Amino acid sequence: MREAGSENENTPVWPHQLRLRRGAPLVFYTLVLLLLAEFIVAVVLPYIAPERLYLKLYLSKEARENAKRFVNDSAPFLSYDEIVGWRNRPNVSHKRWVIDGHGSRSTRAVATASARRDKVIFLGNSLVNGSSGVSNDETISAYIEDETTESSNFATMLYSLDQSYLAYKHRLHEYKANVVVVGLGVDPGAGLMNRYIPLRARQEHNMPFFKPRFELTGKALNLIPMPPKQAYEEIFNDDAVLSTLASSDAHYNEFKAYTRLGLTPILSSVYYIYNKAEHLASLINGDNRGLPLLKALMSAMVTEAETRGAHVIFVLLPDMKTTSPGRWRKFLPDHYGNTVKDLSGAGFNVLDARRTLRKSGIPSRGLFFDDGIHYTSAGNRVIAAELKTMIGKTGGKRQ
Amino acid sequence: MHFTSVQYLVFFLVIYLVYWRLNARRQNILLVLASYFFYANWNWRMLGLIVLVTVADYFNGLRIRGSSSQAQKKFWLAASIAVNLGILGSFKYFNFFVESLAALAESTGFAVSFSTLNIILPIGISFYTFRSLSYTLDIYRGRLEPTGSLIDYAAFVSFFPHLAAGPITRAKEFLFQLEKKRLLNGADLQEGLRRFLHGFFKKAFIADTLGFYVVDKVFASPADYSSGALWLGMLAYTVQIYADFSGYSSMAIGSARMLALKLPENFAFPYLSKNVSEFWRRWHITMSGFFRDYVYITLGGNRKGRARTVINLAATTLVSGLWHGAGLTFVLWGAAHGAYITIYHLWRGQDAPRASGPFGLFMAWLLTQLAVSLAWILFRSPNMAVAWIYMKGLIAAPGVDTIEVPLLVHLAFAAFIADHFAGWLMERQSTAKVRIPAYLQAIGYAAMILFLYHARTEAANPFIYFQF
Repeated sequence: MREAGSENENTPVWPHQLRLRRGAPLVFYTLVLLLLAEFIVAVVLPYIAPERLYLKLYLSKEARENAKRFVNDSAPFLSYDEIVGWRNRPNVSHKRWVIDGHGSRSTRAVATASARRDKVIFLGNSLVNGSSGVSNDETISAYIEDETTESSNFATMLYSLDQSYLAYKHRLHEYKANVVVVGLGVDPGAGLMNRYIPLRARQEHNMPFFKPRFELTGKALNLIPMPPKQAYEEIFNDDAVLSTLASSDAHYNEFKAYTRLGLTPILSSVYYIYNKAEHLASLINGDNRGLPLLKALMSAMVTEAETRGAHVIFVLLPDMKTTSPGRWRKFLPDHYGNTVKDLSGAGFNVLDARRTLRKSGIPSRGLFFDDGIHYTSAGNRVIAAELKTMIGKTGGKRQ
Repeated sequence: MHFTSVQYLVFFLVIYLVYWRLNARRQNILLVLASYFFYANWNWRMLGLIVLVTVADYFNGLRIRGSSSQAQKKFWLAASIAVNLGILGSFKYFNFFVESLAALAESTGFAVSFSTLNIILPIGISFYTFRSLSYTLDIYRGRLEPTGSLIDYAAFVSFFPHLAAGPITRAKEFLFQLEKKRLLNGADLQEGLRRFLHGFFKKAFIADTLGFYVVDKVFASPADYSSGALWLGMLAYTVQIYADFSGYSSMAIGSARMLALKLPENFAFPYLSKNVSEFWRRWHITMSGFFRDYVYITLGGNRKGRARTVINLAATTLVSGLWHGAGLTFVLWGAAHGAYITIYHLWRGQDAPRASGPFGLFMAWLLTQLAVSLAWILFRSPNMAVAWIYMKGLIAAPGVDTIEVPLLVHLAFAAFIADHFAGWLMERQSTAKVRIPAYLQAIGYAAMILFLYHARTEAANPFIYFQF
């Protein structure tokens, strides 16, 4: 025992403090046991316990129940789709969010033929679809409508470009649009190498779904299709499903790390810090792993649309942090700007929505909801105005 | 930054590492800075109130001590009371009194329109104003010498473990510890960690589990639930509020202990009480002590006859209810306890038969717990209408909904019973302590940590007593 602040106050006291075994035996033994438990869980257990058991711990009860509801076709807003993974359930509404009989969030009934000059369909995720905070009449798709233009908003929650492409190729081309607007998130490559949503986003309790993905072999796109529906059941009973994901989902390693590092407090703290550091590194260096696949899919989308007599506009949709970077983010490399340049330089028709939002002069708080991701009606209106100009300039005439 | 957050654990670790490298004076400076950071993390604008209270009472204390006449002493004490109760009244009770006055005026036929203010309630205001007030009151009564160090005083008022939700530490219990050199030793570290972990378990597992799965649902719409569900909700809240508040107190005591500072105990297994008077000796002990010493005894205590004693007790519990919150439900909760204590003292005064024997004691315990639990309905309900629906529903509920009780809820109740059973054993065998080897205890604590890591509900609630 030492006295702090004594005449030898500059002498380190920690060696004495660390003599835990005699001074604080309970703390000492508890720490020893915890470290032992950490070792067993991280090193020994993975050799004994099958991976499917870890998945039950990895997924919340809520996620497992939502998956069951989805497979039984009783999920409230989405229904199973054997090609794309999921799609908007027709004829449902929630607050100000209304989906029509076609699975579209539109201001009017969607016709397969149109008397108006331009027919635009919207593809993408919830940023394009709009959150329940805006009404159908306050979405980007609604704001471009006038006497010459009609739109249908088929954007669906958590869709990545591969799913938008497959949805258009197999089903949505039937709506005979002459313009296809595809919304891409701030990180457009995210999700393209993912087949099972929880592996990429564990916290996504509402949508623990399988999805298809493409992989690049040379320059060719190869589809890894949706697994059969029974995979939802089998994944908890048979390690074969997880083994398949191990070789086809780039995010599988995150789950694998969880099995070793996520179950005990000390190692998971270390893993948490590691993840934060990795995220910071990606903010500094950028993460371009998905970019080649993204470009290949964008090309495929353009080709597919052209064969149907339509042209494609890609809208790169920023979040609030990207639009108005605060404090230290200002000093980080501008990955959004680089992506816009890169994709435009590759010949794609890309709308830089960030520039449009900044040009509007409206403060970020007025453009985004509190989540900093989804747009308010003002944000949607600003993007739609620029998009409408772009449709006019790029010759959105019916062919 | 709640005690159960990762941020607090990191914050405390940093403070701990620096603290033990400093001498006593610098330790106190560190405590002030750390405490102000801790508070500013919630709302830096409200930090000014703590500084104001600290500076005002530091100088009031010196002036009370330096006054040559009783009148001067009274003047400076009044100044201290005005500052503390003025701040408390403005920030906590202004709107309540204005709205109550308007309601009273309207009920007597006068149409009035008073403006209320959009005032934010600063966290812990009831605690730090009372803590500071105890200092000047004790100096006035000659029980305490004022400190000559503003830093020490600031450390006492703002000390982060007891800043937001108590215990209501008295200056005479704490200031002298800040003036002494503190010793770094394993026993304090061990006891501090043990208390902190106990508190963490109570709050993060027992309280949050019961709150999330039972209490929040039932109190949100009591009209929808069956009588059985309402009884379960009442019992769950009875346990939740104890686990929440005693858990916080335990974490505060543990945090302080690791810094070699002792805070007073705040709970002593209150649900073992066999009468309401005993309940108040076991529940929120520091607050009860404050009201006993500065309200009840000031009113005359038991020195002015039985009738006056009962009136004084009822008045004290009523004030205690108001201290908890600016709302009719809190006032009525205090009034209910006032009524309980009055009935209890009247019963005792009539030479009525005392509870004795296992069955008699059990019935006394059961009646006490029932009375306390029923009063908690007033405390938890957002308004009187909900409280009334709830109480009626206990007998004949209009609703039919039941509550799904997952295994975690059963475990939370079991953990609470084990806690009080251990307390009962300790009280019975206080002289014959059972010595469990450290390594066996360690198995329990390691299991507790691993269990907490996995079983902690994601919908963690903030501490209930923060609002006071």
